[in-house]
Parts: sequence; structure tokens; C-alpha cells
Amino acid sequence: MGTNILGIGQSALAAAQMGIATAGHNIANVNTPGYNRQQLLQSAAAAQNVGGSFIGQGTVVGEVRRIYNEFVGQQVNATQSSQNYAAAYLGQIQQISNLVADQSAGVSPALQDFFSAIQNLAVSPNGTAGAAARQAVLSNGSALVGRLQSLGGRLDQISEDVSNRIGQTVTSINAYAKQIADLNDFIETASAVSGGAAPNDLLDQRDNAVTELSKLINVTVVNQGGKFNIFMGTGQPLVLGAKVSVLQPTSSLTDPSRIQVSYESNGKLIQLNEQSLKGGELGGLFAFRSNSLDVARNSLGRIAVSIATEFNDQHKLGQDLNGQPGNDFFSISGPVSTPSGINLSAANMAVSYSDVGALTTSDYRVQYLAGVGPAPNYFKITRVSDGSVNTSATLPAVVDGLSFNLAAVGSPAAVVTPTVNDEFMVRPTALAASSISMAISDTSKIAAAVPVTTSLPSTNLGTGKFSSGVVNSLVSGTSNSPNGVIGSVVVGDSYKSSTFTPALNLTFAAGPSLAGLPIGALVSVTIAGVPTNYLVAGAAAPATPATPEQVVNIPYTSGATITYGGVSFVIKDNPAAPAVGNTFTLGSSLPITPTKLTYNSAGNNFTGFPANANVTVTNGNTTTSYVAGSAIPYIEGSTISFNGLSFKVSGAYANGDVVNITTNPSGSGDNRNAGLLAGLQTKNTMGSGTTSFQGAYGQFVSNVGNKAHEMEVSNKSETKLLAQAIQAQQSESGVNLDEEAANLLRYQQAYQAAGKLMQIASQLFDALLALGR
Amino acid sequence: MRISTNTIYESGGARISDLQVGLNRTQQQIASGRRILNPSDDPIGAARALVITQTDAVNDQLAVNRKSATNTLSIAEDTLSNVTTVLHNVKTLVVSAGNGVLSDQERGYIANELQGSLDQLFGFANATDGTDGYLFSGFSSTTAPYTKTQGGAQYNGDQGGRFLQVDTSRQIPISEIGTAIFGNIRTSNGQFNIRPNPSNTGQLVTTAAINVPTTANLTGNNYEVAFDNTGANFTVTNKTTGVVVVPPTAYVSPQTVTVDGMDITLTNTPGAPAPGDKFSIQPGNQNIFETLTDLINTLKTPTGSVQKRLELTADLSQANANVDKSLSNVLLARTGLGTSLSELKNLDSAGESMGLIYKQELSALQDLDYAKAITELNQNQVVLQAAQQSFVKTSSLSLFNYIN
Repeated sequence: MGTNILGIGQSALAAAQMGIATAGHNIANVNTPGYNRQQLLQSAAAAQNVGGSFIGQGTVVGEVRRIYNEFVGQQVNATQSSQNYAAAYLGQIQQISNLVADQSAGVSPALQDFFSAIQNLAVSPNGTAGAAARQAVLSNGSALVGRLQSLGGRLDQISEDVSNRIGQTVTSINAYAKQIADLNDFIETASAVSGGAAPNDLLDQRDNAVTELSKLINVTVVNQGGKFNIFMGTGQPLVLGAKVSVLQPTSSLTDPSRIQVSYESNGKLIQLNEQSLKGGELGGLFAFRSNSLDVARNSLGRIAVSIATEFNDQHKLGQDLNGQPGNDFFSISGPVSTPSGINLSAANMAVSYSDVGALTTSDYRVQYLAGVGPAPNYFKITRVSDGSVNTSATLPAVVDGLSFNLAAVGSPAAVVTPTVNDEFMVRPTALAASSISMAISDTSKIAAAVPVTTSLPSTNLGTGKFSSGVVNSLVSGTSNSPNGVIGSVVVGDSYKSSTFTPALNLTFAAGPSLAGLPIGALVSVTIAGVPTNYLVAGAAAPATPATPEQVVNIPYTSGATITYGGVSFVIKDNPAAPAVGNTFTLGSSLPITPTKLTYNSAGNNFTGFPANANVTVTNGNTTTSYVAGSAIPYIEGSTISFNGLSFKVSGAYANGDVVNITTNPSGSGDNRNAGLLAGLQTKNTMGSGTTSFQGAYGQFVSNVGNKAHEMEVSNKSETKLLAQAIQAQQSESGVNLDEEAANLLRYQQAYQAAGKLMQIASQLFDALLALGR
Repeated sequence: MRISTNTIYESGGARISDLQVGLNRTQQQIASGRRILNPSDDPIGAARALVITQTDAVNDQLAVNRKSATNTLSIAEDTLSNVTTVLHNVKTLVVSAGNGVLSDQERGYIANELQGSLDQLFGFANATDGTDGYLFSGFSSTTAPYTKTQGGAQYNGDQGGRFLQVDTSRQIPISEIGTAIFGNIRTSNGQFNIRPNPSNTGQLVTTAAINVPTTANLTGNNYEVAFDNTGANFTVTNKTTGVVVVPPTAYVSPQTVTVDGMDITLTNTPGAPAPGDKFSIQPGNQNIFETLTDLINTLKTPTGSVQKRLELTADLSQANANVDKSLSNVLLARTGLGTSLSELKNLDSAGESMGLIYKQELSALQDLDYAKAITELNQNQVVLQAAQQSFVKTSSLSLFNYIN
């Protein structure tokens, strides 16, 4: 009997001790991350049947169980992923947002100051006030360039920073993956040794490692017989039992400075598609880089390219203080193309701006792909931002203001046709903002004047007026054809002044066709919006892969737009086709040919235009072209254009009145070009004529602001969700010190009571022994 | 529901940190006076503010342009108003010089006075805009428009019209070229003004035209065709320089001599010239300096004979007509300047009110409502204090405090 009571007391004593140990363990780990509170489970020992009654045998300690809800745990992990995604994205984009937020440091004030300086130049282009105004133009130009450069440089820094952080994140992911794999192993061993009892603290550690991993990347956990298998992205295994797939940061194939993630499989590195790596800090960094950083850099670059190109184009139409034609005002680097590291050929793309006004903020992926069946191989040009695709069997192809062509590579330089499946990444404006600089430093080189002027001698009897004129185009088209005319030449942004020096003569030949283009020239002929490429060669040959049809003469179609050497022009019948042997000449408009026009009252017209000039008269919306040598009718208020120049005529002319069109030798007070340059500020030169420089910058700022705002909101809500999930988890598994205090008291009392029980058993035994004395 | 000790600390701490972030933001807003601290606060507002800032800056710059246009135009207007006064004075002198009772000497005094007027006009024609730019020389604003010559003055500027952007879609001329103001005195409907001497008795008619191939030789000087006392020979003299350009030549009707870019044709219509007949040839288009120089020379010529007196009268009436034409040119130019000035005034007030609108719009977009912000600051402060105090209170509660 007494032993029985002692046994019961002892079991109670042991149970209370374990209870105190468990509560103590909970108290000790109150601040341990990932710790789940533990509970002692005890049950009554099986009773003994003594003479028909069941007598209790004390208590049995079942197990020490951790209070853990797997479902809630998964919820916490998923929320950790999305919250860290938003936080990483937000942290990065806030840097850009802060960068453009400062009103005094952004591009916008520099842009305004620059154009104000140009306006002041228009007010006083020379003299003492003019010297100051010219210096101000250069200083403010440098300031603008400096702002663009420093913003561009800052974005480059952010990009480098992102690359570094991606590398660090990958290292951490590997560390946690290794930890989980190790714990998988330990837990298996521990469970086996203990005969199936759960190693609670090891499980806590593993669950915590999964949570930490979820902060870095979104993962899926599959519990396979007590082991965790971890998968990421589109199902790549990261941990399988005790085995880990190690991730590695590697350079992008098409951009060495861009860090991507690869994993090793059968000894080979396989690059993971960054779009498949969603969630977590890594996902946030990737999303920021492709959705915001690239766009920001390209947007800023596009603004820099537009400012530089539009300004240079107008500046080159002007004349400086020394009487020389204007040069480039800004210099800027062009598009870059990088062939993929796994390309089989040495080919590369040469990309130039054909129309900066049509540029987008996207990068382009160019692939050379095999044609299906009899179709020839073709180039596929994909706009990365929205995946829109253009295809062309031959180059050059013009997409979004960019002219894609094959580059001459190697030594001696030669065009190499790519191998099928070769890939190139073209970044039109990525380097522009950090590369823009001033091309002139001499105040007298600012072209505020226009290199043409007119005068009417005092011997004129009429009151006719002839405007001082403007230069519209650097290239003039002339022709000696009695029928055909060449329209005004549109100079593209890739035009080089050396192209038509000396002048290029196109001779009308049988076919009908045009001869005279240099061998090797790539020419596009656009009929009703459909371009066809030709390669001028010594002998005609069909198109070979990637090379357009080879022709000796370019086929002639009246009214087709011919594009060559960065300029485009139209030759058309007027009214009949040109005769064989007629020439059409493309030459530089400057310096202009001094011309003396004479008004004839009999025909109400002007004569005396340069011999081969194809004059056009624009009256309202009607434009009429005249073949060389024609008398040009006088229409009051019309605009007369020839050889890249145009003039407005008005007033009453008398027979024999003379108009002298001359170079502008001493026009130091001429502010015409300064006025035209200043007008660029508000002209819609960007986004295909929808917005101005400032408007485009505003779009860029609003883009960054919107994305930052979106991320702020989503970070806020994700943080709330995470807090709720953690709270739910904590309310189940977290340690409450008051509760543990109560447990301590409870087990302490149980221990004291069990001691008392054993004392009573002992006293009972003593009483029995005393009976025998 | 259970709550873990960690939750008490974490949620309390997170809330306090949130409140501090809000408080800091409001404080920054108040310190900077800006509602939008960062484009993400209001992306659309931030972009709009950028565009309006530019529009406002352009508007301000246009006001600067208008100011300088107004300055230049006012100086030009002032100068031309002085020119008008001088021309009126000249006209009075011309009229008084026609008085038949004046002696040669008295006319000489008038000539001297006119010389003064000529010099004055010359000064006005070469006026500058205050920044060393000549007002009336077109694009060549560093070149003095007129230099003195023997026959008057020659124009060195060009015919370029300078314009200035004074409104978003308005360019205003800020200069008038010298030839339009001081030149352009049409003495005839033809290219040359040929006047037979009032005492001519023959029937010969002289015509003159530009000799196109030698246009460049035109001098703009005055010439005289004079027949000798037999009426059979003639000479052509450049009256301005006094050089005989065609030596005595036998006359055969019709006869054309080409001299200094002119074809001078002499024809019997129907009769022959009388001995001593003279014809003066002037350019059909003169400037005021030439007119005045001619006038001064005329007044200095002694009027000994009836013939000379008749010549004087004819010359004076020509001069009078020329001065009238010049006055009308100047007035035309002044009208242009005046119109531009009043347009600038209108544009100025329009620009000012636009500027006000832009600034209001910008202020509405960017500026902080201080009353609201300060109220918010106080409110946040109270809430933060309450949160801190309550956190300290609740977190200090523990059962362990009672176990000894």
C-alpha cells in the first residue's frame, strides 16, 4: 500500500519537475526567433484493480509538444515573401523618387534656365550684352548637361547597387538552403534515435530557416516523410532532402554588367528567367530593375538624346559669329548593341537614330531566326517593354525611330551575317544621359544667325517684300530634268555632312531606274508605306540571307520615298517621266548660291533661280513643284522654297524688280536661329510629336512617382497583412510570460503537494513499524 | 484570445514607429512649405507641377523679352520723334528759302542751318539701343547704318528684320531698317527722275534707264546733261562729284550714252535741243541725306540770273516734295512702332494675369495648407504621446512582479 502511494507521489514529483522545466524553457526562449511554445502533456497512469476497485497509479508524462500550426506558418511565409518584395522594390525606387523630387536639383530647372539663356541670346545676339548672353548660353548648357550626367550616373550607381544586392541575396539563399538540408538530416536522425519523439527545437529551427528563406524568395515547401523539399520559381528544386542546388550570380549573356541568377544542373550553369523568380527580396530587386530602373534610365536617356539631337539639328542650320555654319552644340553617344555571349557568329548590329522624335523608352531584342519552309530567314525585333514584334527578312529595318542594320566587324571590317538563333540586345538610350556633353566651348561658335539673307535694291519700283529666309534642310535636291522633280530632302538624325560632299549625282536610266549610288550603298525605297531594301552592287544578284536584293541601279517609281545615307527624298514625274540621262543631284545646301531673282509683270512670275533648282511654291496647304528652269508664278503670301531654303513673298512688285538672295556676311545682329532654337523648348518634339522635352521629363517623374506610390501602398498593406499573420501565429505559438508564471506556480504547488504525499506515505509506513514495538 | 508577450512589444513598437513616421512627414511638410515632398506623394500633381513650372518660366521669360522689346522700340520711337521735329524744321526752312527777296548771303545762312539739321539727322540715323547695337541697320547691328559721302550718306546695313518672341505665338519686329525710314524717297515713278531745266527752249526729251549688265556701277549720284551754246554737242557731268563723265560729244538724234550703269537716251521729240538746254538726272529713289545735301548745294549756288532763279524754284519745290515724302516715311515707321508698343502693353497685362493664374495653379498643386498641417501635427503629437504612455503602462504589467 505504502509503496503504491510513494510510487504515485514520485510520478507526480517527476511530472511537476518536467512541468517546471518546460515552463522554464519557454521563459528562456521568449525572445528566440522562430521559437514555438512547448507544453507538457501528461495523463493518468493505468489504474490497478484491487479487489474490485480501480486504484489510480499516479501520472504518466506523455510528451513535450510544441504548439505549431502548419497552415498559419505557411501563411506567414507567403506574406513574408510579398512584404519583402514590396519593401525591396520600394527601398530602391525611393532612391530614384528622391532624386527627381528635388525641385532645385532636377533636370527641369536646368532645362528652363538653358532655354531662358537662348531667349536672352535672341534679345541681344551681339555687342557687350550679346557676349554675356552667349556666355550664359554656354554656362547654362553645361549646367543642363551636368544635371543629366549626374542623374544618369546616379542611376548607373543604383544599377550597380542592385547587382551587388542580388549577389548578396543569392549567397543568403544558398546559406539558408544549406541549413534546411542539414536540418532535414539532423531531424531524421534525432527522430530515429528518440523512437519517434519530435525534436521540437530542431523543427523550430527548420521552420524558421524556411521563413527567413521566404523573405528572400518565394518558395514552395513539400513535406515528404518529415523532410522538407523546397522549390522556387517555376518549380526548380532548391532543396531535395539533404541535397541543395546551389544558385550562382552570373552576368547576363547580353550585358556583362547585369547580374542574373543561374543554377547548376549536371555540371552546367543554367540561367534562370528573372521573370520566373517572383516574390521576396530577390523578386523585388529583379522587378525594380526591369520595370523601373531600366525604364527610368531609358526615359532620361531619351530626353537627353532628344534635346541633343533636336538642338544640334537646328543649330547646324544656323550661322555663328564667324560667319561659319553651326556645328554640333551637344555631343552624345548613340544606341548600343550587345551580341549574346552564346552567339555562334561574330555578327553585331549597328543601330542609329533615324527619327529621335519616335523613340520609346524600351530596349529591343533582335533575333535572327530560321524561316519556316521556303520562307527566308528573318530578323525578329521585339520591343522588350510590351513584347510587340516586327520582322524583316533584310536590313535595314526601321522600328520606333531606330534604324537596325548589320555592323561591319573585324579587321578588315566586313558585314557578317548572323547564324540562325543569334541574338542581340539593343539599348537605344541607356547610355545617353551619362554621355551627353557640350561640343562647343567658344561663345562665337553659337549659331544665332541664319546663313542666308535677302535684299531688294532701292532701284526697285514696286513695294514687294521678300522675307530674309530660313534654311530648312542641310541637303538640297536639284535636277536638270525637264520633267521629273526632286522634292525637298528630309534630313534624318543619322545624316553625316560628309555623305553628300562632293554632291551625289543620280542619273535616270532605262528600266526605269536610277544609277549613281556608290557600290555597297543600302537603299530603302518606300512605296505606299511598304519599304523594300536594295544593296547597290557591281552586278545584280538575288537576295542572300540577311542581305537585300543586289542591284546595279535602284528601280524608279514615281513618288516613292528613297532613303539613303540618313536622308530621304521623293523623285516624281512632273508631268511625264524624266528622260534617260537626266540627273538628280543631292548636295549640301550650305554655303548657299547667291541668286538674283527678277520679277516679270507679263507672266506675273520670278525668273533667275539657280540652273537646276526644283522650286516649290506653298500657298496655304497647296504645294506645287516646278521643274528646273521654270518661271515661278508670284502668289502673294506664298512661300517659295528651293535648294533647302525658303522665303515668304508679299507686296506689289513692278516689272524688272530684283531680289538678291545672298549669304549673310555681317549679320551679327541676326537672331533668327536663336529664336528658332528657343522655340524648341515648347515644341512637341518627343513621343512622335505629342510632347515637349519638359513634358517627357514630367512623364518620367510621374512614372517614377506612380510606381513609388504603388509600392508604398502595397508595402503598407503587406506589412499590415504580415503583422496580422504573425499575430495569429503568435497568439497560438508565442510565449506569454504571465501564462508561464502561472504554470510555474502550478507546477511548484504540484511538486510541493507530491512531496507532502510522499511524506504522508512515509509517516504511514512509520506508524505501521511502531505497531511492532 | 491569447496574446504572446512578443506581440505586446512588437505591435506597440510598430504603432509608435508609424506615428513617428507620420509626425516626421508633417514636420517636413511644414518646414518646406510643400505639400508634395516626393513625386510618389502625388505623382500626377508632381508631373503637372513640372509642366506648369515650365509654362510659368516661359511666361516670365516672355515678359523679359517684352521688356527688352519695349526698351528698343521706345528708344527708336524717341529717336524718330526727334527726326520728325527736325524734318518739320527743315520744311519751314525750305519754305522760307523760297522767299524771292532773300539775298544769296541770306540763303547761305539757311544752308548753314540746314547743314546743322543734316548732321542732327545723321546722328539720329546712327542711334544705338543702349547696348551698343545700332537701331536702324537691320541684322548688321554692329555696323553704323549710315556713313557720310560727298552726295549725302550711304547705307551700310542690310535689310534683315529682327523679330522677338513676345508671346507664345507672337513675334514682334523690334527694328525698322534705315532705308525704310531715311531712304525710300521716290522722286519719280521711274528709276530716274529727269527734270528739264525750267529755262530750256528746245524740244529734246531725255530718258534714262538702268543698264542691266553694268547695274553694279550705279552711283546714286546726280547727273546733268548739258548742251553747249551751239546745241550740237552735249556733255554729261556727275553733279555730285563735279567730274565730267561724258566729254563734249556731237549729238545725233536719237542717241544713247551708257555711263555709270545708266543708259541715257536723248531724242528729238520732235524738235532738236536748243543751245544751252540742260537736263538733271537724279536717282528715282533718294534718301533724306541726299535730298538735304542737294538742297544745301542749291541754296549755296548764287542766283545771278533769271535762269538760275527758275532753277532754284524748281529745286526747292523738288526738295519740299522730298521732305514731305520722308516725313511720311518716318510717320509710317512711327505708326508701326507705336502699334507694336501698344500691342506689347496689352500682351504685358495678359501675360501678367496668365502668370498669376499659373502661380495660383502651382500653389494649389504644391503648397501646403498650413492650418491643416499644423492641426495634423498637434493631433499626431497627442496620439504619439498617448501611445507611448499607454505602451509603458501595459508593458510593465507582469505576474512576476507579484511572485517573491
